[in-house]
Amino acid sequence: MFILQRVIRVLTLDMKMKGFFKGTIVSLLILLGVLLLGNEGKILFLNYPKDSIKDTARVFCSILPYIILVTLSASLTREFENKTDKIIFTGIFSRTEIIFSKLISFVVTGFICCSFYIVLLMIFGGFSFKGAGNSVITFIIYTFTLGSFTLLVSIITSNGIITGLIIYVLHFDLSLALLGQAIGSTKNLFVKNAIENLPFFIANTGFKAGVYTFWQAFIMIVCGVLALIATFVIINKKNI
Amino acid sequence: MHNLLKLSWLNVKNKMFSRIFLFGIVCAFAYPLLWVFAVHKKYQLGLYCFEMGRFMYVIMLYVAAELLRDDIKNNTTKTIFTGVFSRTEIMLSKAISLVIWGCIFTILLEINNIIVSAILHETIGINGFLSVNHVQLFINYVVILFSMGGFMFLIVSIAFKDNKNILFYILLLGMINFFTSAIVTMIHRNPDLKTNFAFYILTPFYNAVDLAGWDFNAQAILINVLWGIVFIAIATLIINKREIK
Repeated sequence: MFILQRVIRVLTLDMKMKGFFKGTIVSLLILLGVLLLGNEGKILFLNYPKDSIKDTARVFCSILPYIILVTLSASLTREFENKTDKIIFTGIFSRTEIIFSKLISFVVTGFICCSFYIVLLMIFGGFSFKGAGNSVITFIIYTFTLGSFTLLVSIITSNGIITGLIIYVLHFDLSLALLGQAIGSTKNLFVKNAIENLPFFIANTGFKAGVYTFWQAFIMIVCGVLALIATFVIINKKNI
Repeated sequence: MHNLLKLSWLNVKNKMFSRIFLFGIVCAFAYPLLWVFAVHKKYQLGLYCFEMGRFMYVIMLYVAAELLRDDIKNNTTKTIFTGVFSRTEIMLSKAISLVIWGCIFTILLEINNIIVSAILHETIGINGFLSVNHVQLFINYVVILFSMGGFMFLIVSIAFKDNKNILFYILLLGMINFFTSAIVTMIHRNPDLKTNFAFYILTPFYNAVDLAGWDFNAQAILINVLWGIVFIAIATLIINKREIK
């Protein structure tokens, strides 16, 4: 019973931090407001067809990765920058448990974003039960893997902005453009397969498609677990 | 005035030789090299220069934000902003630092041009390198840094200590920059689309991409210099009014 209690305390530890839910929900609401305003503006002033309001959910989903990325990068590095790492990492909970609770908070953030997205789909059209189920799994895998990478990079560079930029460069537009061109221009099947199975390439392309294939999900989870193990090793060896 | 220039140069020098910046520059050089080796198409030198510029865009925004944030982080805001120089003079020195950064980034791009020309000496070679308009590249990147750096000043002056907000805006601007290149390509191919995007062409974001990758465009330079002045002026006003604790 004591173990179960401890496990639950660890899982909910980071979520109890001040402003966790508030921060995420406020930024999602602001994004939604800007999108709706923009859509209405386009329909009223630029004579876009009224149907384009259906795009709201899709555009919302394409900006979500950036919001998730910012939340992820700011989480652990905030401890280092506010100098609370000494308190946190030398307290009751072991360092591994702290990192794990942060990862759980990342996945919960992804889940909140996913719920927003599904509600938008229901309001503006495009909702289906299968699609919603796929979305939930996609978001969870996405935040797990990206979260593990972010934690690893956060431990190495204790700077929030640098962490965010490194993850951005590795996973988002810049590397996707490069890898996409590399796939398109090579005739070597081995290179093609190698690039298509890189977690950097899979993360955002699968997210945009809304569903990860079994093999993609497997690679993402394995890479996430490896990054997590590396993080545990480094944080336990680090001098705080 | 002389002291102001020294201050500007010091601000830049401290950042330039920091580990994080050097790491970023190493990655910035690796990116076009990946384009050279991993993508088996033949491109002009301009594309490799443009791709490196796109990569360095986020680095540029970061150093611009750090120009103002360094003082906040190291708790020297009180000293700097309430000391010998007036706040306006300090902001002026930071604006001059932006111009110095523009020169540095241009030098880095030219080094990249030399490297890529040397590697692809069959298709590009010396002729390709000499056909690049170096003065234009220099002016373009100084103007880009001045305008977008000014924008980062404005953001930092509002979100003083908030790391998350600053990261979000850097990422947002990076994303806007990335997708704007598609719009710029489209408009250069069909100039009649200019009327549809007339409003967007006036923004600094469109012109930053236009200057980075296309030919000489006096209108873009003028628009961006004006935006830069507006941004820095508003940031100076906000800093002047702020209570520095």
